[in-house]
Amino acid sequence: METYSSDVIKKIVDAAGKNNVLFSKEEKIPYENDASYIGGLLPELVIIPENSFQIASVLKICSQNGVNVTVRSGGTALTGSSVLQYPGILINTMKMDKIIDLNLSSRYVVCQPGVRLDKLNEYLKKYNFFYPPDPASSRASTVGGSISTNAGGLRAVRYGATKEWILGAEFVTGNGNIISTGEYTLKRSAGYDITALLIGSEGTLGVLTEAILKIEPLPEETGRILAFFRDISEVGRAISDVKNAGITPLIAEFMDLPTIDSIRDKLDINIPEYTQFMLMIDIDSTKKSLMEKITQAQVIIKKYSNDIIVITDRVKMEKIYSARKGAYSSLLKQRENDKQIVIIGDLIVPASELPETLKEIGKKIDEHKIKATLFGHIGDGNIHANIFVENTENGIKRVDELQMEIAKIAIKHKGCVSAEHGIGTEKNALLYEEYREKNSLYTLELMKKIKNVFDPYNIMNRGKIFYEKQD
Amino acid sequence: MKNRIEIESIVNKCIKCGFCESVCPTLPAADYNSIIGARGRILLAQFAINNESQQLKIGDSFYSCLDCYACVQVCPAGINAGIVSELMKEGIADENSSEKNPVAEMIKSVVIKFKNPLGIPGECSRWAEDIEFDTSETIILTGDMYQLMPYTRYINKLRKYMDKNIFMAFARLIVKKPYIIKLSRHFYDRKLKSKMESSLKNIVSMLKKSDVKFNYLREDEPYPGTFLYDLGYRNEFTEYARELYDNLKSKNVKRIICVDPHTFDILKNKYPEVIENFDLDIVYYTDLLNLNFRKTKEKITVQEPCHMVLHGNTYRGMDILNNVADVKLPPESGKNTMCCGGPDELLFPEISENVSGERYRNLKNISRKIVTICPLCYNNLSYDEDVQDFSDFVKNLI
Repeated sequence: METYSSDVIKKIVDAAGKNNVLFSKEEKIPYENDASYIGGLLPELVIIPENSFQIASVLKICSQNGVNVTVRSGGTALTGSSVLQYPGILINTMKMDKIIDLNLSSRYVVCQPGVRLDKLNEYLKKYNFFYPPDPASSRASTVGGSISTNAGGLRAVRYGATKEWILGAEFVTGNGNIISTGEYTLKRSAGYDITALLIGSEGTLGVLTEAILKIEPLPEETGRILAFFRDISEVGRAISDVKNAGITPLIAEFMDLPTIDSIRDKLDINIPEYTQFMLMIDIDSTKKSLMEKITQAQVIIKKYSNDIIVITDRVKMEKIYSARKGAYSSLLKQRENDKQIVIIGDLIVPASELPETLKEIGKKIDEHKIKATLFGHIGDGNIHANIFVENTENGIKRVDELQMEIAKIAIKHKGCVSAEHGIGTEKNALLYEEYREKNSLYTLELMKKIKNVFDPYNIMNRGKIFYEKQD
Repeated sequence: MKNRIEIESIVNKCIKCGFCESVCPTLPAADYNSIIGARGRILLAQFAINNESQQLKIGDSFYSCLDCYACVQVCPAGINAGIVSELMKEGIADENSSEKNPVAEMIKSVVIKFKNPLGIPGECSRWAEDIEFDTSETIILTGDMYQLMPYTRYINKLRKYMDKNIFMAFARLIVKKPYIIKLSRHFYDRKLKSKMESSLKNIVSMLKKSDVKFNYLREDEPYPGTFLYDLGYRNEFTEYARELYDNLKSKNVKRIICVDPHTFDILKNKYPEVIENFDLDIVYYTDLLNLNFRKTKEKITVQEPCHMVLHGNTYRGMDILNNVADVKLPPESGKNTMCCGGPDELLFPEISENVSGERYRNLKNISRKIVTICPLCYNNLSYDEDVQDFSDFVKNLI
């Protein structure tokens, strides 16, 4: 059923260029889904533009005619942010997939939104550089998508999330204005930081069409420590002591036994029988002093763990790293049937609050009698609770209730309801709860006012971030 | 739809993460139209088996799959979108569907009628006119792959100047009057023909020098029916394969030496699926070479064939190259190798050209010289004179 008049549709098609539009139902079906369990509506049109001018022209027409717009690139969102909640069109930025400029001495690379993160790092590796944000989906996720969700990843303990790595952007606002924000420089003191507003905006303000990203030289040498524990609080203490000793690891990950089991064959290491949790820490240094630094960390961890493995072989390290990045997907093997889904939670608390938070979350999961496994980025306090549930109305309701309860635990411990996946439609009730609990609902109102400035006709990615009552 | 349960059991495992489409060569080649990519194919198949999809034009999505199996190498759920495409093509081929591709139908009719995709078995055996073979229970089976490349290249050149509808109408006409296809013997790329025939002669020469005794069936050499399998004509393929197998057994053939990965893969893996007690020994020619190759300092890069490295087959081609030359591989190599685009050449020439162009640029970034180990790869990547078939490259090092 067509929602918009043929005249409006024709104007949109003309603005985008006919060759950049998918019209037929069969071509649009895949866009009803992203990587989340939340299905969306079939788009009226799918636009795959070549440049920002086409996007600006399309958004102007959409604004004038009240046509809702959803934005997508790699389609790896886990919270439903890149599928349609309201009838409208979808803009897919994948065709804008060029690396435009690289400047090693000024430490930046300029990219279009459709560049996949692994491809970017493959390119930078040739110059001995890298772009640190490293979400587990980096094979498929893109510059555009990772900026829109402020993606984090394994290396966030050292390098922080995406927001630390964006110097500037070209952006098309919801009403079709092309703006440039930020600079090519590391320092900037010139009015409001509009770039920062765009990061994590999940397509609700407009469409990112270019980004200036900071880059770093690759670490000279890295080594990995794997340690095994019976108790999660010991894991928390071990990583705290390492950090207190002045060592900031490149990555600091933990996983529980069911997660270890899901990737055991890929890890290819001897895991002690008593193991309930594993800690994985990467240390970097110069070639000369790497072992010295590893030994220093090893001595600290030894206070809490009897069994420690040190790996410096690059191939073996890469294999284990890939296994950890694929942990969420590997958990699928533990599904009882194909109808069961695994919903990945994404909370964060200050690292010091982690041991207590994990205990309370574990207790809550037991109370709800739902199967869930835990892994996450222990170095930065980010916990992923992976919840196994039947994909039914009742199943999703049970997950929503559990997610809310464990979100409240995170809020109580000075944390946040979403660390790196964004809000989408999945977590807008949790976001509301966070600000209600902080007695700061006006912050949400401010966000809406900001959206209104960028997108005065409220057409951009409606239903995402903020709960919106459907007509 | 045919294969519904099998398709359902695969697609229901999908978590829609998109890893598969990040390595699917056809997605960027088709300007990121999702249904011409691995995840889109899975989602479309899921829709098609659960909904009334007669009105939808879903054929191109599955016919455009290169069957390279790059997707399964990265899928966390272990799904092979290539297999889903194969099953969907079977479903389309089996039904009285308007979705049947005219070019696919044309190829099916011609293969069944003439035991050769262009109806030119005589032309395909001409390269060996002056070569003597042994009387042996071992035969070399070319699968007509080297020989057909000059014809497909020329036909695709013609297609560029022809309206798509006219080409499709022509294909439909050939379905009705298959003899017309025989005219194709006049349309070939002369330079490529000479090159392909020379490669075949090199292979034979190296096998002989390695003291391998083998026969060649010349005009009686059967085409293995690879197209029937690839285009989803499973019933026809099964019948065809059984007939061919009986024919070879009647000739007392015990061992087959393949010279291209597609023929090797289909005989080694697909024939045993449809022929009970299949007992022919299938070997790849590189594995029989027992020669002292001279080492060269030349830096080369290699297009590894999907039907070997991604379809789980083993062969000695890469070992030989690593021993004789300075081999540098692109990031997309081994289990991450990227298809040359060849399998789409007849049905989707634009996609094929985009894939091959991208792959050629990737390889050229690594080294000036590119070595291919498959005639399809050679045909699709030989944008310049520095691209060489494996047989030609190593022959010069004897």
